[in-house]
Amino acid sequence: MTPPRTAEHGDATAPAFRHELYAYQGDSGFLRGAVSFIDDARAADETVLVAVGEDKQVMLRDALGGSGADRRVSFVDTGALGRNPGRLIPAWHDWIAKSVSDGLPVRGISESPWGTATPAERGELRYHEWLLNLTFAASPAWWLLCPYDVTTVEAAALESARLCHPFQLAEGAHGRNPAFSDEPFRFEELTPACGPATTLAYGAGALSTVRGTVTECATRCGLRGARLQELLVAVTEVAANSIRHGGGSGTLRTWGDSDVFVCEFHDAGHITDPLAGRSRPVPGQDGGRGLWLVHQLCDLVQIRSAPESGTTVRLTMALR
Amino acid sequence: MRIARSVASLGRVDIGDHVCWVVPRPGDFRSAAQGYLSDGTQLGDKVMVVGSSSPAWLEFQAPNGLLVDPAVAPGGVGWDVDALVTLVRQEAETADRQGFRALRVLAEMDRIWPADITAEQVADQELRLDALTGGTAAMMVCAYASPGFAPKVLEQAASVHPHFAGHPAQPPSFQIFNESADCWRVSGVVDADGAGAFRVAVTGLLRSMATLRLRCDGLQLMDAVGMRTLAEAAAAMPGRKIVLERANPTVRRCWELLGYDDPAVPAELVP
Repeated sequence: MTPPRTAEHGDATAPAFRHELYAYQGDSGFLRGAVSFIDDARAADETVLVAVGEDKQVMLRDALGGSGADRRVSFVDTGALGRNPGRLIPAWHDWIAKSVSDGLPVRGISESPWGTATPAERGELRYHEWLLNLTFAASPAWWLLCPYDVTTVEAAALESARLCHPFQLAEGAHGRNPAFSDEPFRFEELTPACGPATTLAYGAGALSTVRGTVTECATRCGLRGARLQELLVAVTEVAANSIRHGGGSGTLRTWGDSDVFVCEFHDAGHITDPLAGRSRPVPGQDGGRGLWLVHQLCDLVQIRSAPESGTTVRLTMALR
Repeated sequence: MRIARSVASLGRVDIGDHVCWVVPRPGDFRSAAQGYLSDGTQLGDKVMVVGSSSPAWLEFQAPNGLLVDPAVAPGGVGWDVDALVTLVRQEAETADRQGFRALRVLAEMDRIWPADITAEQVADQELRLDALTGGTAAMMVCAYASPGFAPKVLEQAASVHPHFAGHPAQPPSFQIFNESADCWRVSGVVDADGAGAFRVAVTGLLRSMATLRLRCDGLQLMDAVGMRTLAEAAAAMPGRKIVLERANPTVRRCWELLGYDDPAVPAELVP
């Protein structure tokens, strides 16, 4: 294929972080864009981190020859991060920091698992894509290509992707994305509870009661052992945030079905930082640990917060 | 090995036990206390009451018993803060020499400590008493009148005893108590609700030892605030260190996720 034109890369007006959409059709389309992106990086002595599904990894390694990996190209195992999109940003921070410390300019290829994600996970994946612009606005320069297979990705996800990528790879050329809109993210409504809910109002001194309620309901749904223990840490953190920052009290609802167990917290507080819980804490820092831990321990974390309506934090644990 | 527990009554108190008894109503006190002391005389213990010179304790006087009223003892109400620890140590040794099975102590804490005692002072004294009772042929019930002490002091007191009595009062969320000369145990749950008392207890122990070994077999859960408390308490005393042993996998995972597995942090998790 014709190597993509990169005239705009290095443009003084371009942001340090280049977040680029690549809408493609089928496996051949994926390979065409991804291989040319990697070839360009190699030619420019840049390093590339590839975070795509296992099937795409195999395809790409074959196309690149040998194992596909070399000093310039690394394949990262996103599966080890679990399903929660809230863990992706800190992972990218780690990967980039490592490459930058090696003195190499960085590119990345990131394709989210749209085909296997649940509707709730897809909503958080869309938000993750939107947050990337905010997260890396002040980071060392790097270029992230986000492939979207238009034959399989749902229309809403693709539409959202078009809005939040300032650049695109289209028809073999890299350039600005005319559909990009630097607007606040529009969350979808949280889905209704999938079963009868247990409700508990909590306040100061009630963390033990919160854990007791969650233990009883979770056990009934089949969540036990280490996974239950991790959920209990997470619910402790969220309830403690309500008590400390959310007006001193809150309401817990829990429900479950054969697939998931859900704990939803609501309080009167407002989380002003959209990136709360998405940066790895360092030992000496003040606060900022609770939501980080919650993101690392739960399979999905959905946060909706506004000054007028308060904060809702929904934690989901998969049961199988 | 000592294990943290709540006791329904004082009838099951045994050698090595150190019980925080939160007395909800004055009327509950006398009969339960007398039963505890009577058990001692039947079992061949030397009985010591540290409290008021009440007629209720007449039957527990010499030769098998001892009544010490801090209000009339040398020093009066302003008893030196070390006096109780010193007294229990001396009487335990004396009881042993005299051939008693053990020293059985009932301490009325509102008679011993000033009304304005702080949580830090309570922790310091009770942790030293715990090291003493855990290592000698002694048992001790510390009676805290619920309306007589501030809730914060009661919470602190309960958290630095291995045993708790006082229905309907709630047992503490966590307990720190002595295991051996250089090792302490933490059990239960350390979360944001109990972090203040936890910080006081850990800081108090760190003052007297360069390395605080905390056995965590009984620790069910520790949240981010609890872990931060540990790291900060150790960092606040240069040259001191905390070593957490036998923590469960969830505690270990959270510790690592929060970045405390950093050699620069003077608190360390070991197998």
